[in-house]
Parts: sequence; C-alpha cells; structure tokens
Amino acid sequence: MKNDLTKLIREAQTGNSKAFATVYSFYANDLYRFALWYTGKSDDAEDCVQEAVLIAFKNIAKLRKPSSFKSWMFKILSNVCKTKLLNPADRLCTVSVDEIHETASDVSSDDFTVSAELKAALDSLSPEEKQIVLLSVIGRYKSSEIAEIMEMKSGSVRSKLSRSLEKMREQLQ
Amino acid sequence: MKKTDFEKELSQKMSSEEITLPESLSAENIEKLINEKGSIIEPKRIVSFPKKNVAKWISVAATLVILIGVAAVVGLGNLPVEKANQLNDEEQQQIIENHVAQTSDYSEIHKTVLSYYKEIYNRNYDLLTDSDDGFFNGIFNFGSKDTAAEDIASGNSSSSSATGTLATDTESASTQHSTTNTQVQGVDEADIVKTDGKYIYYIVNNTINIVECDEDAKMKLVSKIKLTDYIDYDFYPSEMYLYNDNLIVLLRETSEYQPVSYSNSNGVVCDCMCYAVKTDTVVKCFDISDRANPQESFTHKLTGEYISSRVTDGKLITVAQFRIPYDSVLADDFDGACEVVKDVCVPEYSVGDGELKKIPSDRIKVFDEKNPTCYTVTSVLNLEDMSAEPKVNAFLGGAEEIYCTREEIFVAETIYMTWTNSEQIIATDDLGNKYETSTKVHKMNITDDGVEYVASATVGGMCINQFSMDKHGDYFRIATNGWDYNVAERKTMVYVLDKDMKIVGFLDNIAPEEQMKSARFMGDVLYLVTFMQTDPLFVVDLSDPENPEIKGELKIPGFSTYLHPAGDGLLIGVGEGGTMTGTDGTAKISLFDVSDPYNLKELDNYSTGSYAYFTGNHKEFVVVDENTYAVALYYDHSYGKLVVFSVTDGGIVIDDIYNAKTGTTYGKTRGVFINDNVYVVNGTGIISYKNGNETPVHEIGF
Repeated sequence: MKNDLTKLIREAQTGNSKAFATVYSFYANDLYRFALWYTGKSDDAEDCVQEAVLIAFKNIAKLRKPSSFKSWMFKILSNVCKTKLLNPADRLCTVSVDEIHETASDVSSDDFTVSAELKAALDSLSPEEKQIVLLSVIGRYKSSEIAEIMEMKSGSVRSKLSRSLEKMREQLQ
Repeated sequence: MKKTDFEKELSQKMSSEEITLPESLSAENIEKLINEKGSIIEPKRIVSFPKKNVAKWISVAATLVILIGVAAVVGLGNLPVEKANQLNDEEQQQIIENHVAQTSDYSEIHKTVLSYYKEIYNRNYDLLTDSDDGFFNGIFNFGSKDTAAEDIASGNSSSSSATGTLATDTESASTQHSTTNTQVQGVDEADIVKTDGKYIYYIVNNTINIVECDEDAKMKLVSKIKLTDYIDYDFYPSEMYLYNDNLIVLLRETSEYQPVSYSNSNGVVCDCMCYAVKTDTVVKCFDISDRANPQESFTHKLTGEYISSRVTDGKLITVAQFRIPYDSVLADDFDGACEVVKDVCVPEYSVGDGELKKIPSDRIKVFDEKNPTCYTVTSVLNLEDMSAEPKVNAFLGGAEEIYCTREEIFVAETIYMTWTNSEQIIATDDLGNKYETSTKVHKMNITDDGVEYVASATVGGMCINQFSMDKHGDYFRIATNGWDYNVAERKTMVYVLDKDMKIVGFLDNIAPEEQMKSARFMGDVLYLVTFMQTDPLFVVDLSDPENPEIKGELKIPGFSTYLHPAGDGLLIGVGEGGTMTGTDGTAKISLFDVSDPYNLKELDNYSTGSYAYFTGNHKEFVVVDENTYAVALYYDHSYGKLVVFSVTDGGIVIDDIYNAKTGTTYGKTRGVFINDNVYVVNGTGIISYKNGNETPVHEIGF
C-alpha cells in the first residue's frame, strides 16, 4: 500500500487527476468525518473537503515526501475548516483585513445527524481545542504530529488535549 | 501520551457514528471537480496575488486551459503570479541590496532577513518546510498564532540545584503564609494567585480579584482590577507577581500591522502590508498601596508572544518570542514585499503610553542565521525604580522554555527538520548526532543593563519544561527526549555543558521507546521519570560532569509528572496511577526512598481512584511547612480536591482533604495557607477552612 501510495502521488504530481482522486479515496471518509465534526454542518463539511482537495491538487507538486500526504491533507483541511467558521459567507474578491477580523455570524440550522450531545461537548471547546481533539481522536495523530500541524509545542498539545477531553467528559457526564 | 480510556471511548463513538460520504465527495466526483476547477486559481487564496489583477489572471488561466489541455494543468501547477514576477536571481539580489543600503542601522538584520525571505519567496511557500513560512500560515492564519502561555499547564518538571521554597515567609511577627512553589531559590515565578498573608490576589479570566482575609478565615472582596475588555481564551491565564505594594501582571495584546506605502521603480504606488495579527507582551504594574483603589502605575510592551518571566534581586525579567511574519506579507511584487518585510522584521518595545519603537540595533544580536525566523526579546525592569526605562535586548533565535537562576537565563528553542529546495536539513546536536527534533539552548547573563547573550548549543530531542534544565556549579545540564534520526527510536538523554556551552558529558539512550514524564535535578543527582507502560524512576549521577551515569532504576505502575525532594533521602512524586500495563488516569502521590541510589524503593503511595486533576504544573503543589505539602490532586463529583499530606516516618499521611468551589477549573486551583487558615482558590471563587477542619468556614464567588 505504501508503495502504491507513493507511485500514485508521484503520478498526481504530474497532473494526473485520476491518480490524485485515487489517493484521495483512501482518506475520503476520514476527511469528511473530520470536517463534519469540525463545522457541525454537512453542507459546510462538503464545501470544506472540496476546497481542501482543490488546494491540495493545485499544490501537490510541492509535496516532497509522499508519506506525509496524510498530515499535509489534514493540515489543509483544518485550515479550510477554521476559515470557514470565521468567514461563513463566501466571498469572491480578496479578503481585506477588516473582513478577516469580522466575527462570524451565528450559524443556525443544523442538519447534522450525529450525536447532538457529542457535538455540544465539542462546541464547548475553543476552535484551537476543537482542532486538537479532532486531530487526535479522528485523525489519530500523535501529539508531536499535531504539534507540527498546528505549530505548537507538543507539551502544549498534550496539556490542551487533556484539558479539552476533561471539559468534554464533564459535559457528557 | 497513552490514550486514556475516555479518549478511546470518544474515538470509538465519533468514528462509529453513521456517517455516509456524500455523493459529491466520491472519488469519481472529486476527479471531475479537479478536472473542472483544478487549474483555476481562486484569488482569495493567494498570499501575494495582486488584488487588481485578479480578473486578468482568471481569464488567462481559463484561456490556457481551453487552448492547451492537460499539459496546461502541469504548467499551471505554479502560481501565475510567480511567473509574472519571476525576476532572476540577480535582479532579486539587486532589490535586496537597494533595500539594505537605505538604512545603516539595521543593515545587518535586513541583509539576513531579506536574503532568507528571497529564498522562501522563491520556494513557493512549501507546506512542509519549517513552521514559520508555511503557505497556509499566510493564507489561513488570519487570527493570532496558536501559541499560548502554556508554561502553566505543561506536563513535567525537574528541579534545580536550590532547594524548593520554604512555605512560610514571616511578614509581620505573626503572619505566616505560603508562597509560589518555585524552581530556584531567590527567583520568583509568576502565578495566577499570590498572597501576602493579609490578602489573596487571584486572576480569573481578565480580572484580578483582591480578597481580604481575616484571622477567622472570613473573606471580603475588596477590589477588582479589570485587565482587558475582553477575555482572551487562547492566552489564559495571565499571571502576576506581588512585589511590595505592587501587582505586576503579564498579559498579551493583539493589534494589526500598519500598511506600508511604497512606490516601486516605475513610480507606481503599491499596496503593501502585512496582515498577520501582531501579538505583543504587556507588563502592567498596579500600585496597590490602597488595596481598595488599585492604580495602574506603569506599563511596558514588547513585540512578541509572552514566553515566561522571573523576578529576582529586585528585577523583573520578561521573555517574549517575536516571529517575523514573512508569510503574511501582501504586496504586488518582490520589491514591495521586501519593503514590508523590512518594516516588520525588527522587534519593538514601548514604555508607558509611548509609541512602539524599534529596539536599537546595538541591542540586537544577529548571527549568521540560515533561518532567521524569530527573535527572543528580553527586558529587565528595575522594580525598585520603575521610572527607569526597562533594558530591552533581542537576539535572533527562538525561545520556548526558560530556566533562570539569579544571574543567568537559559532559553530553549525547538528546532524541527526542514526542507530546502533540494535537501532535507536534519536537526543535529553539537556532537554530530541527528535527531528529528533538537533543541537550541541560548545562555544569557542577567545584568543591570539588560539580558546579555553569551553562547548557544544544540542538543538532541526536546525538553519538557523548565525543570528539564539546571545549572549547578559551572555546568549546565539538560534532560531531553526525542527521536534518533538514524535509528528512528525515541530515547531520553542528558547533556552536560560547560560555561561556554560546549558539551562535555552525554548520557545516551535512557529508556528507549519511552516518553520522559518528569525530571528533577538536585545538585549532583538527576531524578528522571520515563514512561511507556510503567514508570521507571531513574537516578542519574552527575558528580562527574564528563561521565553522567545511571545509578538506579525502579519500575512502578503509573508515572509522576512532578518530583519534589522532601529531604532526608525522600522524594515525592505526584502524577497518575495505573497497573503494570498502563496508566488509568487516576491521581496518585508516591513517596520514594532515594537515600541509596542503587536501591530505590517506593515507600508508600496514596491513590484515590478518582481522576487526576493535577496537570503537572509545579505551581499546583504547595510546601506548607517542613514536612507538610498540599496539592490540587483530583476531583470527585465536580469538586476539585486539595489534598494536604505529611511525610513522616517514611510514609504518607493524609492530613485533610478540602473541597474547592464547584466547577472544575482545570489547572487553576491553588491552595493558599495563611497562619491556621486554608483557602482553596479556583476560577469560581474561594472556600476557606480552619486547618484541620474540613467543614468550610466561608465562601465567596468571583
């Protein structure tokens, strides 16, 4: 599998969209699941995965280490999801600094069908905490990997992770 | 960290929930999507994309796709803006020289910074390079960087040469009160709670509460100091010092960079700016001579994120890390981008209401840096005379953990593997060994004229927190844990360095495969706890600096995240319990007999069966008196518990267990002891007790 992945990625790097889509298919479920838990809405999750995939494809040529594809993909997806929550309205023109700092308006309507209880527990976390929990629980990353994705120290990742899990555990009791 | 049962459960729940991949995200549809849109670049996603040319580039790209077909996809893998602005190396170098020539003061800095910038600008923002110039940092990290003052909540601790602080400090003839548990005697550390025996000062969210305590353990909220208008949850909490009648608080503030106006060589005015959010460290001093009316008396700012601080010999030493925001530069061309980089690459400081001004170039140390990504900015403030300007210095190198004695500061920076255009740069220690991550330690002297840089060294692996470092006599020692690059195996190591930061001793490969959980240096001895399934406690003999060696090892269940020497050959460990196959997340206090290093014993332990509340932060541990200690150990039915215990006759005796106010505030519970009274402080308020009596006397809320 590892060799196939490397071969496929190398092919994708030459512009082969089918090869890229095959690589994508190995992670599709996890990616969608991550986005779903992160954004809380299936529409947003779909948008995020699509955007992340496009960005990944556009930049696949720069990926030097095929074995890092998964981290790389999740990093892109995390950032897309984070931006989605900051700027829920889609904008076509370049974003100005003022727009960036505008607080996201409350998103109502929820067609997310997974456990409302779990979702509420996740939502009680700060965006950073949520990202760490999801990367650990769904992405199954080690704290050192999460530290690289989020550019933090692994000590901080571990302590924030325990703290967040504590918060969630209390909520779910 | 081994996953707790809760996390495993959560993982199962979240992974098993029935989630079907929508049709639009199937491999076939994604392939279609890529074929349709893959080659068109969406303007809002690009950092250096000229705003005005958006429409032009979309139509060019679209035309190319139609005309050229698949081959175009390959060709358009690069951002069109790169092609448009593809000046050759010489041209770019000329631009840099023009920029550097314009100012003489910071020319050395500008040269180093701009040549690095040229390299990354041409690199097309590789995602997997060093954390500082990631493509997505620039695009998506609109908010503040996700670093926080985690020193408070980070995992483990090791001790230093000096003994721990004595619990009581006589203020007046009759008041005895506890103090912050610090690493080095004579060097105070900031915390969220402080006391002077008459008042308790506690920071909750963005407010300092000043509470008066009487001899009957009754309390009265006397005043509040609101530090900021908003609560900054990602930098939480702020921390403070109590110095005479002053409260000195360390906070952070964010702000925006100002746009840079620049006309290029064609006379065209360009829009250039850095859109990263700037994070500054703020030192605020409040005169509390009248406790009911605190007055802000002094403020001082440093650019960069707050790392840590210390107070020693009447001086406040503040350490911040300032990252150059290379990847958040928005400009029409390389020239404009250089102009922005020049504007934002020198750290600044301000005093009082004054404007931020650049640190003078003679106070900034620049090395021949291949990766000039961040500065360590330090300031020394004379607490006896705050009207004197703080002494600010900086050097090009990062800081994540600090270890401070009365005369020196050692700052540790983690170095990750990076990639340049053609090769992987692997972190290497000064002995030539390669690691996946390594640590650069910078040594500095504390002088009245500020912090002075002395020398640096690179060691393998990473340290956990301040207790991983220690200075004893002429030698600096550091315990680290990391992956050996060649063997791809995790291990714990100890390095001994001389006063010039040359490695003179090295102990390799302690506990292969295991994590390091805590360490404590006590003179010539290092106590080390590693963990994979059980907790080997190691005793390392450092009496010969060139030959550190393991003397003893003890395997017990669980692990300690904080070690505290209790005198008489006794060592207290606080952490988590478990079985021989792993940890169970419950809280535990252990007492070790370390009098014979070849024959370590666990004399006693106390385990509650409830989940650990103790985060490993040494400030949650209090020395009450010679044999008595307290720690916010566990929680039960939503009550955090402060456990007071004594170490007598080689055993642990639980004296009392006091409840904190309801509402767990993880990592923020503290025990304060004033004469015969005990106060359990947390984010929701304080409950007071008479020592020895678990019935609450009084309670106030925040």
